[in-house]
Amino acid sequence: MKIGPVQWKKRGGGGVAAITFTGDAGNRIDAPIAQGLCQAVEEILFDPAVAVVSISSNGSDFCLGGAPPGDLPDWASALASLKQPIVAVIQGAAVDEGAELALIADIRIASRSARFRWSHLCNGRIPSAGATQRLPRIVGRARALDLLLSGRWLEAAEAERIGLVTRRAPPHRIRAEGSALARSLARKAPLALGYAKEAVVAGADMTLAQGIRLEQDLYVLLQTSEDRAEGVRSFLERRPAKFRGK
Amino acid sequence: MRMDATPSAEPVLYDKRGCIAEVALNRPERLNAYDTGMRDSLYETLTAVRDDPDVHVMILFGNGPAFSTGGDLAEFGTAPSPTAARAIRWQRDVWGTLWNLPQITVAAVHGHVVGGGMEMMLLCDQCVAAVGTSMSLPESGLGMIPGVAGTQTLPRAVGTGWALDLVLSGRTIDARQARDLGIVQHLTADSEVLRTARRLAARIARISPPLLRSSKRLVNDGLDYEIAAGLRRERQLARIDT
Repeated sequence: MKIGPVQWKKRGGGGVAAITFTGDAGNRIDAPIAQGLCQAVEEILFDPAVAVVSISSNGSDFCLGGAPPGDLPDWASALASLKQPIVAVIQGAAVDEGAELALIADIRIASRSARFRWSHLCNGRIPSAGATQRLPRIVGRARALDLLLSGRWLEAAEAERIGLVTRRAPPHRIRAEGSALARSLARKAPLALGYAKEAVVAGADMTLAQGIRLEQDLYVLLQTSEDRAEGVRSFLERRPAKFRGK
Repeated sequence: MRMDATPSAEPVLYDKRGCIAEVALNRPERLNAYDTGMRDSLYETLTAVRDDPDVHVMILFGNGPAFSTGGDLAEFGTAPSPTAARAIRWQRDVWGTLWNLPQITVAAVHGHVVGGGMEMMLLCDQCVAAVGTSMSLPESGLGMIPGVAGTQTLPRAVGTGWALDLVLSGRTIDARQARDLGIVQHLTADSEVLRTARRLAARIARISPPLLRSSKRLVNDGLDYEIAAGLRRERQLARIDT
């Protein structure tokens, strides 16, 4: 499906919804891209066939910025509302709104030549797609402030060292390894993936005791799922599990 | 590390050396996967440690080739209904008891540290690991999520980026990566784990017990408070303890 400059498609029964920027104009987020992202999310959100969402670019850069979400359809809140895990496959530069978009993802895999930059403050504005909130939760407060206040480039190697990126690939392999990662996640139990994401993300806003309660309730709820029974059975029978999202 | 397979009549062994308690997971033939028996035994042991004012530091380790491979899947599916399981979970809250122990807890891990095993480690205050250790949270590949607080302890320890990757992908990390992530504080040769943990425990135990208890509570609970409340509490406890 093509929605302006954003394409998204479900990969043949594999459970991955791949959102791809076409690469035009550095994928700067404008009204058509924002609209495309919102529309893709609307169609993916309650689709039980989608276990994992990937976001990548066909161009040389991931995303060079754009208009903040306040001026456009709110693509940032839309993406953050996805229950499915999001994999960002990052090559080239991720700048400003593009770097904020990367923070909304749950797993970031980056090319060895990828670079990040949040230069909002240097340009006289405050990030509004979540960088001041998500960056400290991922890399810690001091590092987040360093990156936001300096507006400096963060190269892939340092990004990995500070935990912003948890996987790296050579530039010529990044697309392939990004897809492989999304597919390997999609082989896991979709309900478990969604609940695990919910436990980590929602739990981060709670006291530890509340978070543990949430985890436990989701854990017990999963005991009623067919996939959990299949997961245990397949393990004991030493064969790959066949999950159905039920 | 005692690698010899101790006859596993008792699923958890307890030993007290001065003010240091040593708790050993002891189902080596099952790589210390815990079943109902081991969990109940661990609960009894941990509550005894909790209530012993003479114990100031506790070491948790595993006998045999691995620290622990988590819940024993052989037992899964025999569980009562989800509602009963939920009731039992909070009736005998073994993991909450471990987290809330007033003593400083040191996990000494080696071999496979998987699922609930890794989560037990994360519930301890400090961790000593053998270089050959491998750790993972494979639950999502089995249709489950971590159930020993791992979805909560891990992001608080390593940030949400690494936590989500580990929890969603089930990938395995080694002891060095765990050290770089900050969940392991001391790396040692495989044969030195328990000895290193004992040295660490002895060093910690030189601090006066009330200070240990207060500082543990302040740090471990501190992230649950707004910083002003945490600072007030720190002042209060400093006045009481000194």
